[in-house]
Amino acid sequence: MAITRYGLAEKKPLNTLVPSTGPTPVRMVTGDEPFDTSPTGTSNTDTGGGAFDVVDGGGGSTSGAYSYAAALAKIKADQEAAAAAAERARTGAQYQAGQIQKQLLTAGHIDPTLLSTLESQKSAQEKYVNDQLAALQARLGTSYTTASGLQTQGFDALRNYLTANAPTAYAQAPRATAAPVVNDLAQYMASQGVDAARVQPGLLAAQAAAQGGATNYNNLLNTLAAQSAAGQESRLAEQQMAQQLAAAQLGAYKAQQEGTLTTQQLAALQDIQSQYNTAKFQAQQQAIARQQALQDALNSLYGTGYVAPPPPAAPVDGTTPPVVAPPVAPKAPTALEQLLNVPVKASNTALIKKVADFAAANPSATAAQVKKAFPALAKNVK
Amino acid sequence: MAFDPSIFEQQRRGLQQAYSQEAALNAYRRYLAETAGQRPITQLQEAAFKTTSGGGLGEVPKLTSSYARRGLQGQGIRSGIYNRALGQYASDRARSLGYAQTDLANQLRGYDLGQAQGLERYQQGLANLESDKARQIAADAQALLALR
Repeated sequence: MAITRYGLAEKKPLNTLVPSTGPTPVRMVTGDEPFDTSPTGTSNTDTGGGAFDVVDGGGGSTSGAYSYAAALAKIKADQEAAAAAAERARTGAQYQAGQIQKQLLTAGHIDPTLLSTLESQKSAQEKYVNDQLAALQARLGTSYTTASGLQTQGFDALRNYLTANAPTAYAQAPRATAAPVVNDLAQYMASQGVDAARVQPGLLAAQAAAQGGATNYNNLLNTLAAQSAAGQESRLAEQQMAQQLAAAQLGAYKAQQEGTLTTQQLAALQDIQSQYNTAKFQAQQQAIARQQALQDALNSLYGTGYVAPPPPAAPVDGTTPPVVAPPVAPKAPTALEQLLNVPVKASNTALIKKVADFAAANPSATAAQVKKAFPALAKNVK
Repeated sequence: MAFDPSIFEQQRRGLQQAYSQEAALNAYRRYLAETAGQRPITQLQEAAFKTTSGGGLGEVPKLTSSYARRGLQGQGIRSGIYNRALGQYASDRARSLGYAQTDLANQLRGYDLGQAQGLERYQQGLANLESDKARQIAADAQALLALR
């Protein structure tokens, strides 16, 4: 490629410009400006000159021949190429804008398939947790029934034994009877004419001693028998108390275990709900970001001028309202989810169990049902 | 400790053996006491009329004959001093005999009481054993529930 400098040897109208034959560069004249003929006057930015440079892309013309028609043809070709390029750009931009607008219709919302997957995962996890709880509760119930049966059997056996084998050692011990003291000399005394009444003092003394001994012994036995009977009553009462205490301990242990299981279930359900909410939030965030990206891309397209933006909404204050993505309303948590998210003290096992039972029995409970079942927590459920 | 019936059966055998030995020993001591206690009573009873080993009269004939020798007793004789003496003897004898019999009876009742106490201990021991058994079963049941 060579740059040929054209100049004017003489003033000629622009439309009659003919190629020069000499080495003098031809200069297109637009006025009577001074003409710079110096070979170094190459700048086409000269303010005082009217010369211009023609880039000879034809190649090989070293003769300095000039074809104005060729230049015009080239300019026309360039204009046509530029017009075609602009048309292609416009067409492409319009297509791109159309596609973006089409995508914008669904942008800003979580993809239904993804949402469905999240819901399925959540349901499966909740089912697993609830199934685990049910299995553990069943095992606990079986163990409790077995343990309770063993205790009942043991204490019933004790009661039956105590009832059938009351201590009888003192109660059935032979009681003492005072042996009668007789005067075996009575017959002899009568034969000797001696009054039998004279023996009475000795007989009475012996009788008193015998009677006293027997009475004291019997009293002792009666006292011991009464004491033994009281001991037997005490034993039976002790058996009843021990049975009740053991049953209460078993019940308390079972309740404690049930409370622990319910607490663990609620914690697991809350974790699942939290994971679900986080995943949903992130998906929503990504959807909004994508919507914003699409909107930015559309705005860029509008900025190129190849495609016209849609007419703005009726302006109120004379300004053009910004193009914003339609707001996406987040899915409100269900009444049951709100109930499960209410913070509850871990020590309040009764409420925790009640909430878990309600959630298991009413998976799609309405707000009214939840409020009715838990009036104290109604303010936390909308 | 897990419930082990053999341990309780071992304790039951121990209680039964101790009771049996105690009861047997007590019965034997009672027999010895009765034998020993009956002997003076028999001697006291026989002393009234039985002649002594040396051929002497029993206490009653001896008393009567001593008064007869002094003419205070005999056919057709009724003396107050003899009456008093025989009456006093009979009274003293009846009192001594009664006391001896009461002493023996009291002593034997002591052995009977010991027998009753032994039986009571045995029965209470068995009841304690059954209580321990039920308590152990209850504790084991609770442990089983904790082991679920």
